[in-house]
Amino acid sequence: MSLLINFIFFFTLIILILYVGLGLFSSLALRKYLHKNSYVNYTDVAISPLSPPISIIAPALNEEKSIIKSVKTLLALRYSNFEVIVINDGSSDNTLQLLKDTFQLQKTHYFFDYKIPCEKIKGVWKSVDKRFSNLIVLDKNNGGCKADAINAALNICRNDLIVTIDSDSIIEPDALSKLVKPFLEEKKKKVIGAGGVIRILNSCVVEDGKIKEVNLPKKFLPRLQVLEYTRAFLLGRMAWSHLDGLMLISGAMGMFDKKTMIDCGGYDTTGIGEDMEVVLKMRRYMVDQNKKYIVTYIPDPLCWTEVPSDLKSLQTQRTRWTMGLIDSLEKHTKMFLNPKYGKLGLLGYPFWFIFEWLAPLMAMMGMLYTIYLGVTGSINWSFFLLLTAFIYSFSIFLSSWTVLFEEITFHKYRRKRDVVKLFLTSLVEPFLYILFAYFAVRGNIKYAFGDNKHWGTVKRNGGKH
Amino acid sequence: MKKLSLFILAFLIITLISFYFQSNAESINQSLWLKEFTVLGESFKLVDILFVSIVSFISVMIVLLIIILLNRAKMEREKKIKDNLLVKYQDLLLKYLEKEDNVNESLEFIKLASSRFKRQLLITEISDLALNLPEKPLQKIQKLYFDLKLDRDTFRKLRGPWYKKIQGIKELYALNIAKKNKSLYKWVNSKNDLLRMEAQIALVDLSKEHPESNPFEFLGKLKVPFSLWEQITLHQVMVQRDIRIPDFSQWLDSKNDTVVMFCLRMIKEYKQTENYQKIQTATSHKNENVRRLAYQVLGDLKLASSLKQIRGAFKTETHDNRVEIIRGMRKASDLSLIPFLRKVIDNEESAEILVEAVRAIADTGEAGKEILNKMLQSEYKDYNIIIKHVLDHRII
Repeated sequence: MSLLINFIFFFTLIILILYVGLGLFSSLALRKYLHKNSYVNYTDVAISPLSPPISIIAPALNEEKSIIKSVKTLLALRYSNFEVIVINDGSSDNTLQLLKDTFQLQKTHYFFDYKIPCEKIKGVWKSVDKRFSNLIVLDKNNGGCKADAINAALNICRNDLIVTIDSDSIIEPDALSKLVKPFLEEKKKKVIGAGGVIRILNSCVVEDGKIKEVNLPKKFLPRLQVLEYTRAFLLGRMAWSHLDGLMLISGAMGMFDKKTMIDCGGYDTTGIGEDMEVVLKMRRYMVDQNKKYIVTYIPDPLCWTEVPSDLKSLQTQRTRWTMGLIDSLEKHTKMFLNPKYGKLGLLGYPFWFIFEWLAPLMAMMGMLYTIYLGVTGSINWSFFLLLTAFIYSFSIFLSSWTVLFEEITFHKYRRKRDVVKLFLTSLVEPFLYILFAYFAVRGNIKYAFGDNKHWGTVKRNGGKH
Repeated sequence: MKKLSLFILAFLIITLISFYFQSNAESINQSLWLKEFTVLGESFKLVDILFVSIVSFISVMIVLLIIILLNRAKMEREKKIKDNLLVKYQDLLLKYLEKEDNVNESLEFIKLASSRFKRQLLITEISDLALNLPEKPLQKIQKLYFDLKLDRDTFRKLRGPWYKKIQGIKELYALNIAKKNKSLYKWVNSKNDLLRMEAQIALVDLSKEHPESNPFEFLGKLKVPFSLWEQITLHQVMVQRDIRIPDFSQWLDSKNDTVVMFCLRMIKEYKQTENYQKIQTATSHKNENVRRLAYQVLGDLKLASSLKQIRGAFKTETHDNRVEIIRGMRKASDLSLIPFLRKVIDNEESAEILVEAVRAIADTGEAGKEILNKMLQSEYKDYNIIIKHVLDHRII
C-alpha cells in the first residue's frame, strides 16, 4: 500500500515539475522567437515568384452552412502560388451543389493515380471562371474518416508542399507565408511538417470569411478552452518542438512535405487519431530511413476554429481525442523508450503515454477514492483540504502564467475586462478538471470495448458568431 | 493495444478496490508528505512546503495580474506619446522638404528629439521616408540626418547586439550611407540568419552609390548556405529597388550549391540566355537539386537545343529530375523533341512522367495535337485517359 501511495506522490510531483519545466523552457524559446520574428517580413515571400507552390487540402462533410465562405476565404489567402482542393467526402446535404453553383464548376477529365488507397473518387471539378482557376473540387464516396478524404486529395495534388485544414476554420491571411518559412530556411535537415497556433473563434465577429473583431468567448465553456488552448500551444507544443519531441500538428491547420507523406503511406484510415498518427508515422519513417529531419512549430496564430460550447459536443470531442491518442500510441509502441527515435522515443512518447493518457485515469481514480473516503467518514479532512488547496493554487498559478503568455505574444484580447475575465475563468477551471478526466475515461472505455472510427461532429452555427 | 487499454482499466479498478480494503488513516500516515526531514539542522515535513507553495502560487498569480494590467496601461501611454510625436515629426519633415531655409525646423527637431527614445523615433521616421524619396529630396533628408548627428546613433547600433546591428543596417541602406560596407562584408557569413540577410540586402542596395562595383560581389564570399528565404528576400529587393543586374552565370561554378541555385533562379527571372552553355554544364552538377533546377531553367528559357543534348541523362536521372526534364521539354515546345517524347510514353510507367510527356507533345501545337488524336484511337496503355486530361483546357 505504501508503495502505491509513494507512486501517486511521485507521479503527482513529476507532473508538477514537468509542467513548470516545460513552461520555463517555452518562455525562453518563445522570447527568442518573438524577438527574431519582429524583424521578419512575410510580404516578400507572399508575393515572390520564387516561393514554392502549395496545395491546400480542405475536406468537407455536410458543410453546406459554411463551405462557400470558407472556400472564398481560402482563395483570398495572401500567397502568390497555391491551389485549393476541396474534398466533398460523400456529403448528404447540398455541399457539392452549392460549390458547383457558386464557382461555376464543371466535371473534368482529370487523370490521377491511386498512389495512396482511398474510397472511389467520383469526379474532379474545376471552374470555368478564370478567377477560380486554382480551385479543384474532388467528389468522392464517403470513407468514414477525414484521413481518407485527405488521402484522396494527395492523389491529385500537384505541389510538393501540402496544407491540411478543417474547411470550417478561418485561416489568417498570411498563414501560408508563416507556415512555409521553416521549409525555406532549414538547410541541414529536411522539414517534414510544420504546425502553428489554433485560436478560438467563438464570439468573434466574422465578415466575409475574415475576422473583423476578436472577442473573448461570451460563454463559459469556450472561454475555458481559450485557457486550455493557449496553455497547450504556448506552454506545451512550443517546448516539445524545441526538445524535438513534437508528436502532434493540429488537424485544423498544418503544412507537410507531400513526398514524405506519400512515401510513408499517407494518413491512416483505420483509426481515429489521424492528426497525431500521421506525424508519428512520418517521423518514424524518416528515422527508419536514416534521414535527418525536423518537425517544427510556429508560435503564431494561423487559424481560428469554433470550439464546443455545450457539454454534449465537448464530451463527443474529448472522447474522440482520447480514443485518437490511444490509437496513435498503440500503432507506434515501438517508439516507447526506444533510443533509436531520439528525444521523441525517450521523452515525447513516454510523456504522452504517462501524462496525457494515464493522468486523467489516475485523477478519476483519485476522485472516486476520495468520495469513498468521504462517504465512509475515514478522510483526514485537514490534510485533504491542504492538498486540495495546493493543487488548486498550482493550477491557477499555471493558468495565470498562460494569461501572461497570451498577453506578451498574441495580445488579441484588447479590453482590460477580458484579462480579468480570463483570470476569473482560471479560478474556476480547476474544479472542472474532473469533467475532462471523465471524458478521458469515457474515451478509454469506448476504445477498449471497440468503438468504430468516424468523423467527429461538433455543433456549429455556420459562421454566425 | 486494446488489450493494453483493457489491462490498464482493470489495473485501475483493482487498485481502487485494494484501497477500499485498506485502512485509510494508516495510509495517510505512511505518506511521504508527513515524513520528517532534517536539512542543515532544521527539521521539517514535506507538508510544510505545501503551505509555502500555496502562498507563493497565489502571490505570483496576483502579481502577474497586476503586472499585466500595469503593462497594458504603460503600453497605451507609450502609444499615445508615440502617435503624438509621429504627427509632429511628419509635419516638420514635410515642411523641411518644402522649404529652402530650414533653420527653424532643424532647431525644432533638436528640441523634439530630446531623449534616446524620441531620437530613435525620428530616425525611424526619416528612414521610412528616405526609402521612397527621389535623389534631390533624399540628399536633403540625408543632410538633416547628419546635421542632427543621428548617424552617431546608427553607428553605435552597429557595435551592439545582433538586433541593434540589424536596426543600424536598415538605417544605413535607407539613407544610402555606404561608408560601413567593410563591416557589412563581415556579417554576410554570420551565424545569425537575420543579420546575414540584412547585410546582404544592404550590400546590394548600397551598390547604387558605386556604379563601378558589383552589387553581388558577396556571392563569391558566401560560405554558409544561402537559404531560399534569403534568396526570395534579396530578389524582392532587386525588384523593388532598381538594382543593376549582373551576369549571374559568373557564379555558376561556385562551390556553394545554394549560390549556384540562386544564380540559376536569377538567370531564369532575368532571362539571361547568353551563357546557355554554363547552364547546360549545371545539368551535370553533383547535386541532384541543382541539376533539377538547371533542367527547369533550360525549359523556362526555351533552350530546346540544350534540352535535346541532355536527352541521354534522362535514363540515369532520379524520378523527380526526369519529370523536370520532360517538363522542360514541354515549356520549350519544340517539334524536334516529339520522337523522344513518344519513346518516353512507350517506355515509362510513372503517371507523372506520362502526363508531362503527353502535355509536352500537345504544347508543340497543331502537329502535336494531331499525333495525340491518333494516339487517342489506340487502346495501348492509358492513352485515352491521359490525353483527355491533357487536352482538357480547364485543367492547367
